[in-house]
Amino acid sequence: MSPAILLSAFYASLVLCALGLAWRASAWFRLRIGPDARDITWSQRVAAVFRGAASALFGSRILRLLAALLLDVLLLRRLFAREKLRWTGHLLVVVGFMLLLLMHALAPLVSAKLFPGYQPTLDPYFFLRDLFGAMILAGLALLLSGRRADFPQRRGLIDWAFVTLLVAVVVTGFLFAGYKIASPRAFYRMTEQFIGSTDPVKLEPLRAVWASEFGVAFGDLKQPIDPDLMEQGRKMQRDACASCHSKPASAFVSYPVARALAPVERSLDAGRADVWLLYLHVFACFLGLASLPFTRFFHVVAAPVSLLVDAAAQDRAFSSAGRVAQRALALDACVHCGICDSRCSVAPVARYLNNAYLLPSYKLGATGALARGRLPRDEADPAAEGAFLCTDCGRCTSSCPVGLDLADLWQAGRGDLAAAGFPAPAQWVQARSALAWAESLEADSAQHPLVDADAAFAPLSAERRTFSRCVQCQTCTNVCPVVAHSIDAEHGVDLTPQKVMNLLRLGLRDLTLGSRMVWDCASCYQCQENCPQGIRVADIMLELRALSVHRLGAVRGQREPS
Amino acid sequence: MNSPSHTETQVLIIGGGATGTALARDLALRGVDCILVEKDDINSGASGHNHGLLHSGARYVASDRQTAMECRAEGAILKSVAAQTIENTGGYFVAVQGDDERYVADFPSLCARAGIAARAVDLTAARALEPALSERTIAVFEVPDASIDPFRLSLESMAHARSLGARLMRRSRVLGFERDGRRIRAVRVQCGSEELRVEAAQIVNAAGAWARELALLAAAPVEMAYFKGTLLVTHTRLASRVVNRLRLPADADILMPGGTVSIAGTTSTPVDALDDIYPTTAEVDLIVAEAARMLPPLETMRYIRAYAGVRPLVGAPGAGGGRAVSRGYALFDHEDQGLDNLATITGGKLTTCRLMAERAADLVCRRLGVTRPCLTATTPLPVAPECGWTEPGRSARAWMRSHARDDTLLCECELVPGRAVDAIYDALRAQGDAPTLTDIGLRSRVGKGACQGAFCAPRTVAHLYNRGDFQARRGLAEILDFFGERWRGERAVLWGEQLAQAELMEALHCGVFGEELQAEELRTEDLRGEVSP
Amino acid sequence: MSSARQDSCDVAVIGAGMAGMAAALFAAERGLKCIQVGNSGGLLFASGLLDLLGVQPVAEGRLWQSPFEALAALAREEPLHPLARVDARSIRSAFDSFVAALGGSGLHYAPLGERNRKVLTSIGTIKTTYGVPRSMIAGADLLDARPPCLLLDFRGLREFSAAQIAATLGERWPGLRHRQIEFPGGEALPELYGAHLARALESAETRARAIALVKPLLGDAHAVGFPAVLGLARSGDVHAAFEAGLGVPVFEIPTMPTSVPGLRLLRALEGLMSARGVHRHHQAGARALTFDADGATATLELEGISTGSGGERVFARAVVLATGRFSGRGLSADRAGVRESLLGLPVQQPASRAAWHQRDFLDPSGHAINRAGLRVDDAWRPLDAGGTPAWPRLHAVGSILAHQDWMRSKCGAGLAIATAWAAIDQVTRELRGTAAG
Repeated sequence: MSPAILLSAFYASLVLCALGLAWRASAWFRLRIGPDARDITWSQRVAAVFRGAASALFGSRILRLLAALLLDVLLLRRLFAREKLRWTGHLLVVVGFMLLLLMHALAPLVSAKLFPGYQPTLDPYFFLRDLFGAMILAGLALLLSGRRADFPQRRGLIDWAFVTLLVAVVVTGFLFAGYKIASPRAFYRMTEQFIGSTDPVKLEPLRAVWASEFGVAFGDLKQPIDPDLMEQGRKMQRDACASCHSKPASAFVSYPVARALAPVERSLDAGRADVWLLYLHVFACFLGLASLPFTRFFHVVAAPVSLLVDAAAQDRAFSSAGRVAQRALALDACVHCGICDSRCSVAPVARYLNNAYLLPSYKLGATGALARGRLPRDEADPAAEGAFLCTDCGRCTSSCPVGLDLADLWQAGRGDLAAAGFPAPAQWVQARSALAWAESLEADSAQHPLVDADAAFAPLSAERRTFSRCVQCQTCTNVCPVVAHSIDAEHGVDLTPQKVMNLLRLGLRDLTLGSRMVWDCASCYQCQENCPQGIRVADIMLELRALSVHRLGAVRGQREPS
Repeated sequence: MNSPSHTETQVLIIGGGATGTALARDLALRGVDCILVEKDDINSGASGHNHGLLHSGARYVASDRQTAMECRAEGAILKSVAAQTIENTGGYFVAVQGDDERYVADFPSLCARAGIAARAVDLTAARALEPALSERTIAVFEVPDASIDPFRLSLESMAHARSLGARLMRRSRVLGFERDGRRIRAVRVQCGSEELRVEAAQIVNAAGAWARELALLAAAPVEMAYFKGTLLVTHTRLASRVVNRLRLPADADILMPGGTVSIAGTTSTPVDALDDIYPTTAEVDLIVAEAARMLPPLETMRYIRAYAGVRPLVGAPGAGGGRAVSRGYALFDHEDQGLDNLATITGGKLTTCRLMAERAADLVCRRLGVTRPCLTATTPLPVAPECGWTEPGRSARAWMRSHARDDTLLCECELVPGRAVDAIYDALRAQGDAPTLTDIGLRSRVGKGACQGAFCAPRTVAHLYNRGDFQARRGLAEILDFFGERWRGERAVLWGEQLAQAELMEALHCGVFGEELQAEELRTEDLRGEVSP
Repeated sequence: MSSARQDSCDVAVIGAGMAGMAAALFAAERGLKCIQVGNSGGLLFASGLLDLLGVQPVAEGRLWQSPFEALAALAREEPLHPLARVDARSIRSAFDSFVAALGGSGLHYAPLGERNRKVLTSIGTIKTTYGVPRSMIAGADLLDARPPCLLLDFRGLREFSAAQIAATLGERWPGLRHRQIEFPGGEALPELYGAHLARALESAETRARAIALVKPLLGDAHAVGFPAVLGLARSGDVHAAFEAGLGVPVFEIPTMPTSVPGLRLLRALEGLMSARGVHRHHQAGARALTFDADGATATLELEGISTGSGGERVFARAVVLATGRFSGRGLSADRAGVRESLLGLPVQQPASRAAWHQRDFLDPSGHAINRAGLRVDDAWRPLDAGGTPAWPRLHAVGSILAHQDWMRSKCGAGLAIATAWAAIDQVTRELRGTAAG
């Protein structure tokens, strides 16, 4: 059809894409994440970004930026360090796509200018085009394999739609190419243009060659083919076609597709597949272009920006406006790879409590939804539980291949949750004394003290062997920085690590669940590292914290026993 | 001590165990004036070295039905009047592969004949409730056993008695009886460095295992046999309920819950002398091996101490290692031995102490002409605040409920606060005694935890010096005595983790502080008399 | 700990208590490449005092003014005692070297001489020892003359009572006064912990406030005694500041655990390990030790002490076993007997458990089980069941050795340091020998 329509469609998608990008990027200046974002205006953020960009681009840090561009954005070195398989898949997709874009989609602008005598049907371009397409599919296959079984990645319908679109682009491309290889219509169009004839009889020798060696499905050739005819045809081929056409066998995907389409080729020709397959392919591309900013594949823009911003800032020393902008950027830059989830140290707790919101990828989603005011109530409760059971171990942050500052996001998110009416359990737990909580549990529980329904969940504190080595030396308490900084009995800790261990050994676990020590524990691990008997003091504290949310949460609504 | 060298009373009770203290209370409730004389401290005999089992009676249904029925009745009474001393844990009787299956079959009917409620329990359910039970269990019955704190029982009985006018003389040893015809005129008592003469209308020998020696002193001998029993204390509590072996009574049949620990035992070995009784490694090994057949985790459990007591059993020593002799009590009126005002009450079990006291009090009152009836079966035992610190876990809660800035924990293992020590110390001082660290240990959980005094003894001593209660070298002497006392029990269970704990203790107290080098010197110093004014 | 990591060295030291640290230190000083694993628990309870030999024989409780004369008596009376098998010159060198290294790390000791010193303890006893930290020496110096002195304690430091110490010394030191003060910043706290106080005193402001509280109480005191909490990493500075601020000598008094001087010793030694290039696997213990067929290399397999995870391997040409006794888990005991935990080496021990401990805790002769342990030949190699060395270059040092009761002899540090020195001497000879040969 008319190139004008195609061109208009292209421009329209481009504009849509640009608008989409602008709209998404505007979120980095609008979205408020964290209590410290309250007082920061969008203009402050813009100013901070400009200042940062200026100082980065026009200073000594430009070199660092360039290095980051090469190593982090193009070569994905962080991802390489963490998951080589995923890196391979990602690189296949990106490189395949970029090269396809440059060599094939932008052929008139790029390939034709760079390579004199470029023809898409000429080797190596014929081969390369298929190669790049295959790379994209192979890469996608690698990326999509190996998903978590218990808590699947959060993925929206629109994301699947985009992936489908990308696959459609490649697949329609192969189909179209295959169709054209096998198409008699295309053949006759070429011969009309370059030989000046469409007479099948006259072109018989050429047709013979093109049928047997170029995969065209004429369907009306006399078999067997006379070798002299073939010889004649080859001569015609050399004269008229060879400068633009290589044998399509090098198109290792399209050619088999062409062979497969051979039986239906003439119907396709009759149905003007050369038009609608083209449109399918091209419009799929345009749709992809237009919709890119509205899916999570916006990360192809956001992630490089995040990586560059990270490289530009020294040790994440952002101004407060800059930091707030960076958090919103992080939401978009997340590539949903799930590596953070696989490293999360409280993942087993997520399984036990059946709450996926302990996992970083879900927390990220919840943080964003909360900031946009779109976190429904029934998700907010588990999200809050998840946010506050996080131990801040930092494994997610250090394992993120995009270098997102997840630790900062979690902190900000907790602040937002508290402001939205979901205070940290530490707050509502500390509204009562540890003893009062223990008495509530007693009143609530028909459990016999030694039959421990939670043993499977809190194995360390339930297992007597955990404490049987304790020699009461007080080292754990002496090296605890939280106890060291306890100012007074009211605001400081009510128990020390040694007392908690002793209460557990005495079978008085319920007395510990509501204690400040359990909640103020900084999980610095000094106690465990220094214990001369190798007792897992810190692990037990964290176990108690999770157990406490679970059990105290159950009695939270009840009045205090008199 | 500031007591006169001569004193009078209606009844002199000799022996401050479960029976003696219950008797003092019984008499006091009847308005009878009495003095209790105890050569050491409350419960220093068998009353302080038993399982703490409030028998349902099911253990004796085959071997001694009388005792079984008494236990059932008395158990119910004590649960009603002395509930604060009892943890109503319930109990299981458990048979494992290899045990006498006929006994298992007969058990329900034997219990029924004694009026004891015994209910068969499904094996899977039993093991769900008591995960420590062996997989080779073949039968389980549920009975109304319970755990009783003998120290709290005796201490509160005595406290109640004193509040009604009775008097207590600790560390007072009977030297002799002044006989005049058919009456004992007076009893000579060594009280500290003084000798005291007590004139009493009636005298009751409730000295438990020492009753024989006392009776001999009064020239009114009583036939008794002594059987030593050893028990082990575990580091953590293993079972919620009392777990008994379902067979004719034998060694290592019982695992008691003791609050925050479990107590495994016991044995029965005839002994002649009452001094120098301590748990041996052979006894410990026997208990561990045998009890582990019922509860396999006992094999690898950490034990923090062992203790041994002597059972006074009435009657001639016979075959059967003491188990054939009746567990029943005996009350002697000595009239056929020419005495009208002496009675001896001995034998029996902790569970029946109230009943024994009632019988003795009935006899004494009859002789005195007092007609008021016994009130102990219906009168609740009042809670005495300074006596409640023996309850495991209680001090932790009390401290967590509220504590002043200066009320710090002196015992970390058991979370015992300074105010517990202060209350006990002050109460004993008020009675005119010089409280020792061992006295404090008996009346609280100090020293009973995992460290067996290694850490809490120094803290408690430091606290007492800071309060001005201890002077001169008293603290060092007390610590050494305390360690010595703890050691008697700890010694036989020193392997595995407890050995590491004991090694640490010696490394600190001998290796670093060199305390053993002072022991000889301190022995020759008289520090008992040095009490703060 | 990632799996399948491997490391090789000249000597692997298993154990990070006093003996293990000393062995690693001496090995590094002799230029041997050293890797260390193991738990440091014992050091946490150390008082900071370095005993050489205080009591000999144990049964008599006889105290010696000269540890070297005591050692001579030991050699005559108990030739199997490990300290009797190290010559006096080596013992002196070992101590000098150890103390010098600590001094280089900021933990200074008073000069070592020929005599034992006496030091006041928090329980009120007087301890005989050899190496005294500079922060404690003033008290030792004054124990002969016994002039008026002030003892202080901090309310809330529960195991320490100045009143107790003064009362226990009683007429023996009439000029001893005692006062209790509030720790600056801790007024509202019910209980205090030594390590926290020590760190707090490293702040000049807290120190100044403490000194201001003490100064008016000085009176005629010739010196002031404190619980041993004067600083942790910079204890020398803190001690000097107190002396300067109060204008009189200041001495620390060793306490119950957690002992701050023990913690100082541990940190100083950890720092020394790292400075001397000893590769220390923190919180990792030895899961298994095997020897290859030709006797050239030992393979040590590691595991996490609390978690049990592991898999790292260390290859060593020589091994020093310094795993300690029951608290350190170098030896373990069940009801049947005592075993050596890592290799199952035969342990010299009483015939039955009934003989392990005396009936009386303070029995002057000590407990037979404390003398149980590994027998070694003259090259410090533990013997197998046949009486021959278990491996040509496996050595055992420290409290795991048999025929000694360090807790009663007051020779803990001496035992650790001297045997470590002697064993490393031996290892050096062996390795140089094999290298040359």
